[in-house]
Amino acid sequence: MKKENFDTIIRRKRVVYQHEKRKRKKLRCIPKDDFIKIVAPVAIDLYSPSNYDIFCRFIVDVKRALFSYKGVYICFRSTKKVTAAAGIVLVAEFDKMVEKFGRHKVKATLPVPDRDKFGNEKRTVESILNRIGFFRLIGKTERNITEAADVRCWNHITGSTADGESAGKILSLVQEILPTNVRKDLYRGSIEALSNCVEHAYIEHSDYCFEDRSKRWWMFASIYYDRLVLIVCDLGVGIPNTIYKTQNESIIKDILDKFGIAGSREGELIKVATHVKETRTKMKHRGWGGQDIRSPIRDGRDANLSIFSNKGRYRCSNKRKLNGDVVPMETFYDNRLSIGGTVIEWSVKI
Amino acid sequence: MKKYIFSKEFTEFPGPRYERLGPYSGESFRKKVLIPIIESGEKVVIDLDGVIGFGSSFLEEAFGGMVREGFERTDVMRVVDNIVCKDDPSLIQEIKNYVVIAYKEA
Repeated sequence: MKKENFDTIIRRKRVVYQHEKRKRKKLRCIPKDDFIKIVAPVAIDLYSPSNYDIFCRFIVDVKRALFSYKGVYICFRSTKKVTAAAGIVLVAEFDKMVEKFGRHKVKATLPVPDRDKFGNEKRTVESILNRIGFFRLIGKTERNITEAADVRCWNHITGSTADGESAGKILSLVQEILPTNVRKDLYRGSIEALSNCVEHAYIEHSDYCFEDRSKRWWMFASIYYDRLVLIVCDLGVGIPNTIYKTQNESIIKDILDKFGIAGSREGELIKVATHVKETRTKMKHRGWGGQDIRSPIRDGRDANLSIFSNKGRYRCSNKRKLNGDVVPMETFYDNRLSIGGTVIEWSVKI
Repeated sequence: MKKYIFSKEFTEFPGPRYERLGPYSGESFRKKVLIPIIESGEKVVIDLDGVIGFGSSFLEEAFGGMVREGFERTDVMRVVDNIVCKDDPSLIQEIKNYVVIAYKEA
């Protein structure tokens, strides 16, 4: 390496170090009995890995700040986009934080409206945050604004039992546009996801001792262009942390061998979980749930299944080849950070 | 022959497997409806139409659970053979599969 390149690198590292040092000094200057401002991401999104990391760090920063300071002031002025899965995780996390710390500890500024090509204001992000109940959650009065058209079909619900009526009511809102067999499969998948959340996600294990023992789930449905999106989210221990504690190791090994994967990544373990026949109780008559979670994407439908659980991401969809054959396509990988729970999303063409 | 309309007399929104997980569970349906039908010895048509959908856990616990409770095969099949579902005929075969598998594992 040439000497001048080495000097440039050292100089750059020194600048970064000094910037970080000033930032830490600034934070130490903020009195602990004051609110700290935390800027929300430009894109509140989980689908892109870089946005995923930024969103996870934002949630961690908010949680740390709530422990250390009088409260947090979330600034949405730079936020331009909120996608479905991240939106429901945002509501779930803040729901839990507000329950633990109190509504008075969280404040927020409104997002800045965008302008369309005619110069008219578009308050899409504010509409979304209103629709998913974020401002209501923190006790902020929602403004009376014209709701963005593509947000009108967003609905969400929360609960702590595997309540079929909740899942059913959300699906009833889109009943007319869904074929009966698709609706039945979505209901089947969602009631299985709610059951898993209540039964498995918040296991009472010494490693996962929660003060708050409520087994909450959050469910969301929306119509986005020509697709119905249905999401079930929990803030439990995550599939990768339960699978080896609850399943026979030989069964997991058989499935890993069948697919030719090592099982060292969380995304791989999520895939295994959707194929496992025996569940936590190791009873042979159990374990049909994996099929239920996959049922909305069966029969070659134009549908996707996406699961985020801790760091892992698993995605399965049906791809139509040029010769007309439909083949399932699966991808799985690990992100750098954990979302601290599980998000199961089905997306079906309507 | 008596008729039991599931959607009106039990729920339109079947729940999870066990009572402790949520309302209108498979366990609850078995205890409150199926076992009394078996014990009465009557032939009752169970109509599963008009329901938003069934989880496999619900069906397995309700119908497969009768096998684990120790009921005779003829009694269980008498109940299962009188299930009707015009909305989704494949449900009947699915239920029969759960009963057959439950007997194999008993």
